[in-house]
Amino acid sequence: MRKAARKWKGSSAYLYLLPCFCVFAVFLFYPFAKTIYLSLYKTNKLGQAKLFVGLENYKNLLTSEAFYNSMTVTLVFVAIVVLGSMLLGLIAAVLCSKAFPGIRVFSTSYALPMAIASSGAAMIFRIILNPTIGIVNKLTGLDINWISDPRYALVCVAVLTAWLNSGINFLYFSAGLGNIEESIYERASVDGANAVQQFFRLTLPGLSPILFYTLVVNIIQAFQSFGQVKILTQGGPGESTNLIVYSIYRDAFFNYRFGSAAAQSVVLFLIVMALTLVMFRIERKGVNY
Amino acid sequence: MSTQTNAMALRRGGYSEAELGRLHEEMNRCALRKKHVQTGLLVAANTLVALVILFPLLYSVSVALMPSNELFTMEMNLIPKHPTFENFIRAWTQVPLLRFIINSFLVAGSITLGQILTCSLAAFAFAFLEFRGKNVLFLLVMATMMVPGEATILSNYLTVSGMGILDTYSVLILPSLTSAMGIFLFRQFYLSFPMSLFESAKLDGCTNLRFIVTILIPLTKSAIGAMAVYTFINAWNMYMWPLLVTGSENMRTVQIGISMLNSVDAQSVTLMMAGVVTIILPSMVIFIAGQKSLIKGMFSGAVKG
Amino acid sequence: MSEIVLKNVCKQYEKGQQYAVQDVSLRIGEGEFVIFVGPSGCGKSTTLRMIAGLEEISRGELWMDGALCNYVEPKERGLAMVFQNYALYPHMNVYDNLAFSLQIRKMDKKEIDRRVHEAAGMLGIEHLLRQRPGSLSGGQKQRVAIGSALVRNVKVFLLDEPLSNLDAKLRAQMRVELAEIHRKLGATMIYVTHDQTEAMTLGTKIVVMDQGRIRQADRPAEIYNHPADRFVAGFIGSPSMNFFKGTIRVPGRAAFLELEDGTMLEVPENRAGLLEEKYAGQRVVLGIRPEDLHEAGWPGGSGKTGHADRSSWKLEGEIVAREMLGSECMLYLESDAGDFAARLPVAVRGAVGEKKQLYLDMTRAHYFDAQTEKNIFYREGRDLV
Repeated sequence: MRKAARKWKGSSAYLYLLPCFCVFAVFLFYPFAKTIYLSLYKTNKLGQAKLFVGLENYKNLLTSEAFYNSMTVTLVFVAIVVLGSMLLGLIAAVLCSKAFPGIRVFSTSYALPMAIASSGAAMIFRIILNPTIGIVNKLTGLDINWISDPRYALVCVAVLTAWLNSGINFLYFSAGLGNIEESIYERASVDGANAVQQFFRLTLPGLSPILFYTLVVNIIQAFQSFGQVKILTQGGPGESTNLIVYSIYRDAFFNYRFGSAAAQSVVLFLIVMALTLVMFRIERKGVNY
Repeated sequence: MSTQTNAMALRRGGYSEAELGRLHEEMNRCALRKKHVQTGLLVAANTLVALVILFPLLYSVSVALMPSNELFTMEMNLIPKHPTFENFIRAWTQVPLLRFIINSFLVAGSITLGQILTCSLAAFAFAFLEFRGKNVLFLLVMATMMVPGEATILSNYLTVSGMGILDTYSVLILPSLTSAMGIFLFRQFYLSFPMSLFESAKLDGCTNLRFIVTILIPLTKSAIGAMAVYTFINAWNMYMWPLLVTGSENMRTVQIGISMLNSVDAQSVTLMMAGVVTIILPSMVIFIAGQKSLIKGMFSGAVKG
Repeated sequence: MSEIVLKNVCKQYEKGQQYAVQDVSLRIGEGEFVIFVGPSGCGKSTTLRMIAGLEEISRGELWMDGALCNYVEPKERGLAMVFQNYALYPHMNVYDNLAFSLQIRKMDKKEIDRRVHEAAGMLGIEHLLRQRPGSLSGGQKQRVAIGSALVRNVKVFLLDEPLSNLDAKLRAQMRVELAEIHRKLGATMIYVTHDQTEAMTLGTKIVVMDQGRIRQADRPAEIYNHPADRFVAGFIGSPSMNFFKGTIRVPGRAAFLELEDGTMLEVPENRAGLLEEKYAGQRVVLGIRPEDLHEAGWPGGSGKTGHADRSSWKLEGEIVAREMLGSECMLYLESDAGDFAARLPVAVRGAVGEKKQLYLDMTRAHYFDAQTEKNIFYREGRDLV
């Protein structure tokens, strides 16, 4: 009797896991396997695997200029986004690290972009960057067609994304700054360090654990950008903003090349996986002093 | 005045009480002024950065309030000269905005509730129960964090179209009903409670479910709050998935509905901005209202420096 | 020379709020080891932080070496400070923690190295130089914190409850070392603590503070033997002084103190004059330290005639607790006159629950005004400003 009860008690644990593992199974494990499976096949227009081609989809990908372009564009994009959003978040967090009148309003403003949808933000930027009625050209006196000029389009999408992502970075950095003990600044000021020395010798190193973490999270997030490209540039002009997720979307749902899209999905997964592993390693080892 | 600061280390002696008092007062004033200037500079710098960060939002509100002829000029038009709510009225009458908003609230609300439910149940098992394969299963959950949604989206699309549930609420809700991050967050919170909390409840004859409902959930209000705000906003802002799986106007969420207006002809720009402002508002309000609990839940213990 | 003078220094955090520090005036001479002591929130740390320049002085003057320093930046004041939580830079190793203040002054590398090793040697932490603070024990962190103050070679050290995070044994050990460092360097040390044992053992001058004001500032022995008021008397000394409420009675030639249970204690002749004159019939508080209670009575009529009747100096109470201290023993008693404690030889008889009569050494007792709580016989002997 007791043994049976115990066994029941033990297996009841799985009941608690059931709901979430059902969702994972249907919408994560299965499609994940299916994506890998599809990436090894030629498909028809309905996405059904028709012909096993082995690694040919990958081979085609790695020899196609479009893919390399997409990767290059994505890397440049990620670099600008990560740098921009982290810098913006850091500046805002440092500005809000000491109490002053109105700090609540400012810190809310700095975090606010994280509540904005990429699609909505993209539509706002579309008006702001419009060559004739856009406020940016009016304010700067420039006459640039920001979105239709391949030289600027990527930067515009990146700046928009950096803005969107800066909100959460502000929160990360604020938390990081809050974790630095106030007394080490007091000691430093008695020790003779001025504000600049304090920032570079205490604040930045004090932020370093969260800095690495935030960096990786930001890279992963930037890799997954989609809405802003879809609305602002549709990957163009030319292929200049054809980020990898947009390229997957286009290959699958416009060109019906599900096999190639699946192969790109696997590449995206590999990149994100590698980054996540790096992040876990950092977290576990703790860049914590 | 600034030379005064260096001369502040006054020699003692040679000063009468009155002189000393006067100097004292002057230095007090000087120090006070310096403090005011410092605070002023800080506020000024903050105002500048905040304006830059808020600019797109402020400007979108401004355009939403502009009659369209004011937008289409070559003149500087930061602020509407004749602000009007006409754009909002048109947006609400010409576009089924209410339907979009109801759809989004339904979808985001269900996802939020669902995630809190599934994640707290799973986290409870991982934190308090012993069972075979616990570590492997937990690792599996953590590993799902490595799979970006965009990488499985096309297979998911094929799955749901095979199931014949395209263009329904369930297709919008089902895939997001759980999240590894939520499980992780809740588990971290639960682990911070002593095991004896659970054990003493068991001794009192408390069932697992009752323990979760009457003890764990009240104790993890801040984590639940953080999770709710974060999940709701993300669900509200979902774009790629609804774009793929909804077709009819009746099923569109706000993000898809509004982006259908995306064009730059004169009549619809201001209308589109009014729509954008309208749909940003709910997520913004929820964010501002929940900001405190979001920060408290996400950063208490979760991020260590 | 390095003399620090505080003149009517006040600290008010918000206008209209209570003063955190009020009218603190004090002279700290070169080489002194001054201890600010008092209960938490008494303003001792705030005073120290004002000297350091970490808090603004709301009113009053701070003179250092004859210069008015109210508005001088902390780094220009030429002081070193040790913080309660050590305030070590977590991302730097011990060497860099020690060297930090010199590095930012762009000092010659060799000189830095020499000073770091000198300080590390003095504190016995040379083997830890390559480690990060996170891996150190509390005592080691404390040494590093002290070391990073030592390298500065300054004339004034400020220490804010430096030992409060250590366990009792380490605290005792560090106390000895701090005294040693003070002796070696001859620098001025200003030290804040809430622990009166630290104050008594380390200080050359003790400043007792309460509610933002200085209650008494004097040498340790003076503070112990001649407390200025009831607060100081109760705060300094462990276990603390016993207090009994009473009334002065002058029925005839001699003055008596009548306790609340009716016990009459004859006031010794050296105290009688003033009490008879000014306090006849008035309420006072008698203070007597636990070690001034004895088991044996006074030899009757000790020979010196005309003396007060010492046989009246006794009080009975019920033992409620007995504590063994090793060489001595504490008895805690309850009586109608009030609860009291006595420090007695280990051999003392009496178990919990028994009645016990003890004899009070009234010649060592203190008398406090019941209203003002001032020590009736305290005279401010020293000029402190």
